[in-house]
Amino acid sequence: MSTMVATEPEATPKAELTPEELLAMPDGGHYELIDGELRERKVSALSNLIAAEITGVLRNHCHEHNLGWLFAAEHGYQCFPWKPRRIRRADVSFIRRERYPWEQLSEDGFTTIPPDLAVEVVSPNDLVKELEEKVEEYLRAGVRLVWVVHPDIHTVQVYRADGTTGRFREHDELSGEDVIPGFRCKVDDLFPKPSQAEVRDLTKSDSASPSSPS
Amino acid sequence: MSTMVATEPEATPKAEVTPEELLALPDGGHYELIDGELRQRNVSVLSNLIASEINRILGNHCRERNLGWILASELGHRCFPWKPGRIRRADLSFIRADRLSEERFSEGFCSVPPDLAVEVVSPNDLVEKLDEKVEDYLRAGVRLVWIVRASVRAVEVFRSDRSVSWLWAEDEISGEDVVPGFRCQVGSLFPRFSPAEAESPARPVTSSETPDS
Repeated sequence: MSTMVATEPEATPKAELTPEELLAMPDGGHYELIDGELRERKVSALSNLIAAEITGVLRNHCHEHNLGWLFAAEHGYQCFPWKPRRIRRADVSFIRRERYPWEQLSEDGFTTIPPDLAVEVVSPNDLVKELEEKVEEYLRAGVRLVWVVHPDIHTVQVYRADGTTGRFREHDELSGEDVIPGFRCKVDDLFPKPSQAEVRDLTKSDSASPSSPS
Repeated sequence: MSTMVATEPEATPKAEVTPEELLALPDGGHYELIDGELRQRNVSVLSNLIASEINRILGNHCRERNLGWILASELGHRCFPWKPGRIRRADLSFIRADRLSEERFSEGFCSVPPDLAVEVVSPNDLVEKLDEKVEDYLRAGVRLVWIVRASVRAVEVFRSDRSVSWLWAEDEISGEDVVPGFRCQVGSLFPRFSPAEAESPARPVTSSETPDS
């Protein structure tokens, strides 16, 4: 199908990277590896804050109930057996304790088992196409729950392994379902609440001409 | 690798365009108007092919039953009263026969919110721009929004009751109560390039099947 899409940025011919080479790069954590090609992860200050907030609330819950491991965005997943040179990094991910033994944790550079939960926080320059491919691959790999956080519309979209989806808005409650038992929070609580001035700084930091608030 | 997506033409500060000026532009149909600013619609050969296929099968269904009007992407929708300087163009839209009276046919923009709006994702579409578009349609009163996701051969359905469904190639999509009686397999909306590609799996494996290692 990709042959038809003329606008897809085509790689200039260059040496393909292996997962091992990515692991050895000092700033490797900034990149995903898509079939041998580095793809920089797009981030914004706001998406980073939200990811940290989600990590925080999930970690508290999982720690308290001894449920499993939470990983930050630097952690790479090599769990796409149909694409051996593909390394994905979720902004936040969770693996149940019994699926990931301690010994293996300390040995792995990349994690080869799919996470139980993968969370992606949308950044302003994220392409729809790349996001939907990422979600599709996680589900195909066996991730049971994918949360895509849309900061612009204060919404979390949930994709489940059974193919169902749900869209949760500010006042809705987000639940860990059967993946993170007992976890629930209001969607709104995931979004940081800085002052109005700070909101403007975060969301318009790269805008040359801040428009006056309407 | 630049973190900025270079392909979206960023407007240099300039005078705001009015809906009337957009209408007078010879190539106006290529643009949406977002609060006075022209925004070029991203297209690709594939997104265009898919839109015309949906136009064909949905159009056939609606014509046979005299259900209403199928509108193509050149038509501008001006149905966002909270943003007077906003004109959207759906790749395809449908309005029930009884909601679009004949005296409106001569208007330059369609001021009646469509019953169904269909957007086919193009390779350069940004997530946040698409979010904004779907929000606008739902707020305007569009009852059903289909986002066609060609890269994964799926359609996402948004409804006015704020429920959402994600349908894969082998699922059936229906017109629900908006386009009564319409149903087809999602996969049939996408062109088939070759038998090999047509059979490539685009759906996540279910628990009963595991990817080959």
